[in-house]
Amino acid sequence: MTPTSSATEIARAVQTGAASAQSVAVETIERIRRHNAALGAFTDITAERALVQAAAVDKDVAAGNMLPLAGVPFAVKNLFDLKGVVTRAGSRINRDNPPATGDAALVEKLEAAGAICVGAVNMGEYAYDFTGENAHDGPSRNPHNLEYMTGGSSGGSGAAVASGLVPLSLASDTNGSIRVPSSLCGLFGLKPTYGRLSRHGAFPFVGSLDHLGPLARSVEDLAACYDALQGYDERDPAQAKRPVEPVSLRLDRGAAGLRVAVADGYFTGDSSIRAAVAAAAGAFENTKTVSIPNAAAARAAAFLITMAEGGTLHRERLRTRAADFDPDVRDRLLAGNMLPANWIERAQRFRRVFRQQVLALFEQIDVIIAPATPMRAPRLGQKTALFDGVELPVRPNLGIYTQPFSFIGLPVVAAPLWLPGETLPIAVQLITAPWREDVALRAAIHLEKQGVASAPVASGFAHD
Amino acid sequence: MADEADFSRWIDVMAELLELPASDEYRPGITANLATATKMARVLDAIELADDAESAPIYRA
Repeated sequence: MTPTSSATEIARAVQTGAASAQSVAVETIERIRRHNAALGAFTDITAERALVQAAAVDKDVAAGNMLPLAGVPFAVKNLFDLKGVVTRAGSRINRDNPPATGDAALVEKLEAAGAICVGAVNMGEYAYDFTGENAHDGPSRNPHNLEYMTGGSSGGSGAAVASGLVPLSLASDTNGSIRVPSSLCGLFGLKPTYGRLSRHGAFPFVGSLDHLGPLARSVEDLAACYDALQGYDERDPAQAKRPVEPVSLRLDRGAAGLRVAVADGYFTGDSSIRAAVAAAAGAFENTKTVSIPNAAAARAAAFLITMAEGGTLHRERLRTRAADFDPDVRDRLLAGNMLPANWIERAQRFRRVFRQQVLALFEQIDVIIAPATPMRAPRLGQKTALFDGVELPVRPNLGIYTQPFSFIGLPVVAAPLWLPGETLPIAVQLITAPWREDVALRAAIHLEKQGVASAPVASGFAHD
Repeated sequence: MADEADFSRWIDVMAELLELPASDEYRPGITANLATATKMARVLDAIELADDAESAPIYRA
C-alpha cells in the first residue's frame, strides 16, 4: 500500500489477501516514525497494540470473516482513551493521570470493524483551541506547508491524514474542532448530529456541545468510518437512541432534486471565501440563498456556554495547578468561571429558539452551504489576521462560521476546495437537518465527483 | 462594565468567592476574556426571549 491508499482500498486489499493487515501496520508505523518529527502529529505511537490487532485481523480474514475496515490504520485525538495510554487531552496536567484502563467507545467500534489503531495525536490543550498549536507538545504542522497551522483543536488528526500517515482519524468538535482542521488541512470531515455517536471514554470539554467524528481524504472513506462508528451506547448520557442508519450504500445518488442554498449575511466572508463558496454552489442546480437569523447571537451564545462549562469543568485544576496550563487556555477558563449565571441561562434558552428558527429553514432546503473558516491556514505563531478588513485575534475567530451550527447540533460535512492560484485549501460546510448525515455526505460526494472538492495527500509526503 | 477598574473589581470578587488564582500575571488575560464575554453577552441581550422559551438541555428521568 502507498501513502495515498484510501481506507477502502486498504480494506479491499486485506480482505482479498492482496495485502496483510500486519504488513500495512508495519509500513504505517515506519512512516509515522520517519515523518512525525516534521509534522508534530503523533504524541503516542501504539506500535505493539497495532501489531497485535493486525495479527488478529489477518486471522479473522483467513477464517472467512468480513471486516469492513480490515487492516485500515487510524489515529485518535489524544483525548480518546486507549487502554494502557495516558489520556493527556493536550494538557500537561492530565499526563500525571494513570493510563486509561479501557478504550473509548468509538475506538472499540473501529477495531470491531477491523481497523488498526496506530496511536494518539496532538491537539490544543483541553480542546479549547482553533490553531492546532500546543504549548506543551509543540504545534502540529500543516502537511501542505509546514510553516502553517493545521487548525484546531484536532490539529494532529488533520496532520496525520493530510500527510498520508493514516487514511482515517477520529476527532472531537465542540465549536468547530473537526471542521476547522478539515478546512486548513484540506480534508473531508464529518461532525455528526449532536447525540449521534457515543462519547464514552473521550475526555470532555463542554458536555452540552461536544461531538465526536472522523476525518478522511475521501467521502467514501468518511462514510465507511461513520457507518462503523454508529450504535447506541448507554454510557454516554447525551446519546440519542437512534437505530444504526448506514449511509455508504446510499451515497452515490447524484445531486438531482437536492435543494441547496448558500448562507448569506453573517456567512459572506471576503472575496477569497466567497469564491470558494461560489465554486461549491456552482456544482448544484438552482442554488438559492438563505439568511440564517441571529447567527451572530448563536455564535455569542456558544462562546459563553463554552467559557462557563469549560471553566467549571476545570475549576479544581485551576485552583491547584494553574501554572501548568497553557496560559491562553488558563485565562479563558478562569474568566469562564466568573460569568454571571444570567448570561449562561439566556444562552441556553436562546439555543432552543435558534434551533426552531433554523429547523424551519429545512422545510424548503436540504443543504445549506457556508464557509468552514474565514481564512486559509494562518502561519504558525500568527496572533492576529484581517477578518473582513478588521484585524482580530486568530485563535477565537477561526471558528466564527462553525460555531452557530454545532451550537444546535446540526450534522455538517466539511468539504475541501483547492481554488486556482491558491497554495492552501479551504473547506465549505454542508449543513443539513438533524439526523440527515446521509444528505450532507451525498452533497459532499457530488462535489468530489464533480472535481470541485478534493483532499489529496500533501505533495511532500505522497511519494514514500 | 466600561473600564479596567470595573473588570478588576469583578475579578477580585469572583476569584475570592471561587477560590481561584488571579495573580498579576493572569489578570490581563482574564480581563481580555471578560471583555470579550461582555461583548458576546450584549449581542445575546438584544434577543427577546418569550417566557416559555425554556433552556435547551433536557434532563431525562
